[in-house]
Formats: sequence, C-alpha cells, structure tokens
Amino acid sequence: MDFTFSEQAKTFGEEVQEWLADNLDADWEGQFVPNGPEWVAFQAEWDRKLYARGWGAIYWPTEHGGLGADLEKRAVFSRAMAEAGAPDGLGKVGKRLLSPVLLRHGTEEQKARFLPPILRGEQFWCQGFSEPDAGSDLASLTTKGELDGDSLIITGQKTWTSHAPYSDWIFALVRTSRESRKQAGITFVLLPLDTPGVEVRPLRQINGRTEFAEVFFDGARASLDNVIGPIGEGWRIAKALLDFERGAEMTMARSATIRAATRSVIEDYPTPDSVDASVAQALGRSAASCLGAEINTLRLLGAQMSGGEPGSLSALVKLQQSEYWRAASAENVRSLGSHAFLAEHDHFEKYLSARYGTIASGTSEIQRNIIASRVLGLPE
Amino acid sequence: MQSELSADSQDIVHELTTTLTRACGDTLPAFGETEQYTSAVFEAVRLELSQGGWNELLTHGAGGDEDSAIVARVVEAVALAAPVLAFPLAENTLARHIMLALGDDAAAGDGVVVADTSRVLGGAQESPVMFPYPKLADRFITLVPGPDADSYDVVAYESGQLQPTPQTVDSTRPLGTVAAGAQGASLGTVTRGQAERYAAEALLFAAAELLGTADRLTQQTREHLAEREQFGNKLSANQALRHRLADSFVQVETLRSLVWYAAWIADQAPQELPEYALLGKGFGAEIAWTIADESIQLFGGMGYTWELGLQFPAGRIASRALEAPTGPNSLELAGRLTVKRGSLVGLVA
Repeated sequence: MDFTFSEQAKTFGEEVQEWLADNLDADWEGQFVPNGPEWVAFQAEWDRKLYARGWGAIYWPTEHGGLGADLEKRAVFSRAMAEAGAPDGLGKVGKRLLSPVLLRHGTEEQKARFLPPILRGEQFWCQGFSEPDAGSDLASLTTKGELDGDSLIITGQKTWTSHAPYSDWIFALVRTSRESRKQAGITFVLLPLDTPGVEVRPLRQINGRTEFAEVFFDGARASLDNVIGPIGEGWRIAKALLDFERGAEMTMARSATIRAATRSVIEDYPTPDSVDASVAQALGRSAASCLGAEINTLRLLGAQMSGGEPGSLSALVKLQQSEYWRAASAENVRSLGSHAFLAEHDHFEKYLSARYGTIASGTSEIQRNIIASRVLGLPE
Repeated sequence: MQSELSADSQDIVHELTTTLTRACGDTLPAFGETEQYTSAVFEAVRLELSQGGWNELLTHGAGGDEDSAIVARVVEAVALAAPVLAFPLAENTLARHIMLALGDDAAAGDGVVVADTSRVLGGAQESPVMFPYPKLADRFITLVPGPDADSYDVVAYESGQLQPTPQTVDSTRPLGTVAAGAQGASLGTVTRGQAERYAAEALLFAAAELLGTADRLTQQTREHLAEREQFGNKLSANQALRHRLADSFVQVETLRSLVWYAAWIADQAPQELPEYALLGKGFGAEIAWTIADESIQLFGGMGYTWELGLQFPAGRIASRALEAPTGPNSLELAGRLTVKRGSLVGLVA
C-alpha cells in the first residue's frame, strides 16, 4: 500500500508552490468586486501569466503546448493552486472542455485556428449546453440549428452558461434534426458571442454573484466551418469533453476550499478553548468526511494510473464530496450561533456558494442514479 | 499510489479469512446465560487464534511492512463474510502486541489473550472494564494509568477472575467484568506513547469491523431490493430505494477509505495514528448505525423478523459504537484536536 504521491509529482507540486509564492498576491480577492471589470481583467491576466510560465494547459499534449501531465501531476497542480487561493482564470472552459473535443474531432484547420489563442489566454470560451427545459435531461434540448447554405441559423436559449458575460466565443449543442432517438440530430457548433442575434444576459445566483448567464439566439448565423464533426453527431462528439478526466483535480481543489472555510470558522469561534461537545463532534464529522473525500480520490487516482477500471470510485467521488461540503458548510454557520448573523462573517455566503456543488456537473440525484444502475447493478 | 495491499499480503488475508470464517461456520453465535455457542466451534476458534496462521502472523509478522494493515483487512473481511464476527480478533491482536512489547514469553502458546485499552483515549476511568468472550479467552489484560502521566501499568487477569455481565445489546459477544475482590497481576509498564498507539489500534480494528459489517448489510440489502417484487416490479425499480442504497454504498466506501488509510499509517507512521483512528471509529460508528437502521427499513416486514437476523449485526454495530471511546466521543475528541490545531487534519505528506 502507498498513499503518497510519487517523488516526481511532489517535486512538481513544490515547484508550483514556489512559483505561486513569488507570483500571486495572497490578498488579491479583497482588491476586486467579484465579477466586476477589474476582477475580469485580473482573471484574464492570470491565464496569460500561467501561459508565460508554460502552464497554460498542463494536461494538453506537448505538441499543442501542454506538458502532457499525468493524473498525479494534474492533481498536485490543482491542489497547489487551490491551497494558495489562486484565481480560476477565465480559460478553463476552453482549455478543459472544448479542447479535448477539438483535439479528438476537430479538423487540422480548426485546431490551428482555435487552440493557440485558447492556450495563450487570448480567447475565452463558454459552454452553451443547458437550457431552461433541458438540464439533467440535456438530450431534450430544443435550440435549433437550421441549415442555410454555408451556415447554421441558430434560434433558442441556453442557460447556466458559465462566464458568458466575459467570454469571446461559445460552443453549443443545437438540434439540427428530429430523430427517433433524442440524442441523434444534435450538432456541435462554435460561434463568436458578438455574432448578430446573440444576446447574453447575466444570471444572478443566490450568493449574489453573477458567474453565469442566459444566452439567447435569435437567428444567429454560425459558419459551417465552425461545426465540429458531422452534422447531427454532436452528442457523440461532446463525449470527448470527458477525455481530460477531472474528478481528482476537482476534489483536490474543492477540498482546499473546504479546509480554508473551516480554518476561518475556527478563527471565528467566540470561545475556541471551550467549544460545545456538539460543535466538536460536528468538526470531527467534517474532518472524517473531508479526509474521506481525499482518500477516495487517491484510491481513484491509483486505479486510473495502474490502468485499472475506476468503476465505482469515479461515480462516488463527486457525490460524496459535494454532499459533504453542503452539510459541512451549513454546520459551520450553525456552530457559530448568533455570531454568524453579521455578514462580515461570510460563512452563510460560503454555504450558499457550496450549494452549487450538488447541482452542477450532474446533480446528486443523477449521481445516485448512475451508482444505482452502473455500480450496484440494480434492476429497474 | 496504491491503495491495495501487496500480492503477498493479499494472499495472507485471503488464507486467514477463509480459515477464520470456516472456524465460525454458519452458526450464529448466541449467548444467553447458558451460553449456546457450541464447544466445537469454540475449540476451532481457540486453535486458530492460539496456534494457527493467525498466531503465526502476530508472533512473527508477515515479513513485509503491512502487518497492521493485514490484521485490519482480515477483521474487515471476516466481518463481511460471517454473520457477525465471532471472535475477538482485535482484542487478541492488541494483547499480543502489548505482551510482545513487554517481552512476555506467554504471548504465543496454547492460551488466548485479549486486551482492553478503553481507558487510554478518552474512556471513562470510573467505568468497569469489559472484556469480550470471558469463556473463550484465558487471559485478559488492561492498561491502567500509572502514578505519573507518562506510563500505563499492564494488568492481567485470568479467566476465573471474571464474572459475566448482564446481557448487553450484542448477544453474540458476551462480556465479562473483573469479579469483586479479584487482584490483577502486573506484567510491567508501557509508555504513554505506546499505550496511545495500542488504543489507536483498537479503534482502527473496531472501525474495520464496523466497515465489514456495514458492507455486508449493504450487499444483503442490495440483493433484497433486486429480488423482491411488488406491484409487478422489483423493489429496485423505485428511485427512492435506489437512491437510499446508493447513499449507503457511498458511506461504506468512504469508511473503507478512512480505514485503509489509517491501517497504512499504523504501519508507516504509527505516531500519527491516534487522530486518524478516532476519525475511523467515529465516522464508522455513525454510518454503520445508519446503514443497519436503513437495512431494517428496506427489508420491510421481513426486516422486522427474528429469523432474518438483522438484530445481530445491528447489535454488534451498537456495541462497537458504545465502547469507550464511543462513536460520538471519538468524533468529539477528533474535533477538539481540530480546534487546537486550527484546521482539519490532512493527508500525511
């Protein structure tokens, strides 16, 4: 048994930590209004800084400017960034979600046109998938793409589009035909957000921030040169999004957020030397769940790196951690009692922010369905 | 990164699990005042603990650096395989470790020795010590705080010096307390660090047993939902039940992560074990109880029958959860360590 990262991965992690110590102001968040223009500019500059260091997209193949980093290195990189409180940047959607689709299914011309500016932090992307009536059931999407000469005319609406207010381009799944299977007849298309007929409306979340938007298409014209793969096969094409498996990285990053939140709630205890037994128990429970999430991830990494089938671990990692975060962040507020009333103790805002984890990237209910069907093999 | 034992260690676990499970047989141990466990099973268990492969492992080790992890896996695997774990693997391991540390030649041999460490990590000093299987084991040792804060006396009692306790929540695991007036024999002293190590091991093995028991209950419940039909469909067609079983599965796997990690630490960095062991015991006690409760519910009317037998693993989980330090106590102790440090405990570098 060995639950440690390899020496190579540890060395890389130390290198990242040293670079962060020299290049990141630990207090950067307090200097900007979240999602405001200065905040956006700072995030964009961060992407360019990472690129200048050679870390624009460490998981990309080396021939496209990445490091070809393995799962371990990606996990330590993600953890180092999260522990330092580094900005997310604006490039993640393009680098992590669109790029594997381009790498696997794009033409050479599309790769040459789109990948370099994504890597350099010069072009930012958002994902146009979810719709008001197509969330968990994404295949039911109805945004239309009608063929017209050398274009697709797009009409419809996307929602929960991350970072759309400060993105340059969008990649979207649109319905180009109606088939007996709803997954058929969907096309993967790219278009600039300043295309006539495209309107972006910021969407305010329960924590007060506006990190998402609705995107309306009213006869917006997309060139067929910007369709990835064949018309009508977008659902299959989109599966490549998962090529850069990110469960371990997300867990490590989120774990750092949870740990930071717990440190700050302990600092806010009115009488830390005499916390109530129930508060201490809740903290013990939180410690067990947080550690459990991280060890689940190490087991997943070990299985993936040895070429084994991650199977059950892959399905449960996201569900376990996001549900734990939900419970723990609520408990953090309760444990402070009336101390938590004042908004300067931002634990209630942290709780509202945590609520995103059990809804995005596959709700907890969908994760449970997956576990019940694919892991437990329960007949339906 | 490798969460599995080495191939050699896995072979040892498999062999010991098979032998121990066979010794237990299909008989569900049920102890009343007349003690119904057959003497044949008793003798098979005593033989394995005192002279078989288990004895060999505890006396000479497995030749690698995974001895504690092997023990934890055996405890987990036997709890998974058997209706309830029918012998004191954890307590026997602790006793052997303590006596070997004292250089006691009686560590191996014909007798079965069990140990209690409940007073070391947060156990109430005034409560009587309860030893498992007073009629199976021959010798019972406990750690008593010494005159100074840095040592513990190792005190031994013989089987004739114990009296059975009134029946507890776990009818499959009889307990005994020291009879009034009985004097224990001092075998020597161990340091506080050693005592905490042994107490942490006790928590680790308790967590491993909770893991195996909860895993077994989850698998049994899964089979029931997949087979039983009502309204023309399998019970598992109902999403509510699918989700509840998925939640049980997630909790079992998370406990497995905590137990396997603590077992690795027991071998690689034993000085770090106490906090991780507290988390394993605390988390395990909580989720295993929830799973036992869910199992009774999801089995419906059948779950409420004596014949199905869910009261036995439920009782075993309850007894482990209530042993000092209890499940809630363990979480509280870990939580106070967290407050003192100012942060949640992390992975060992």
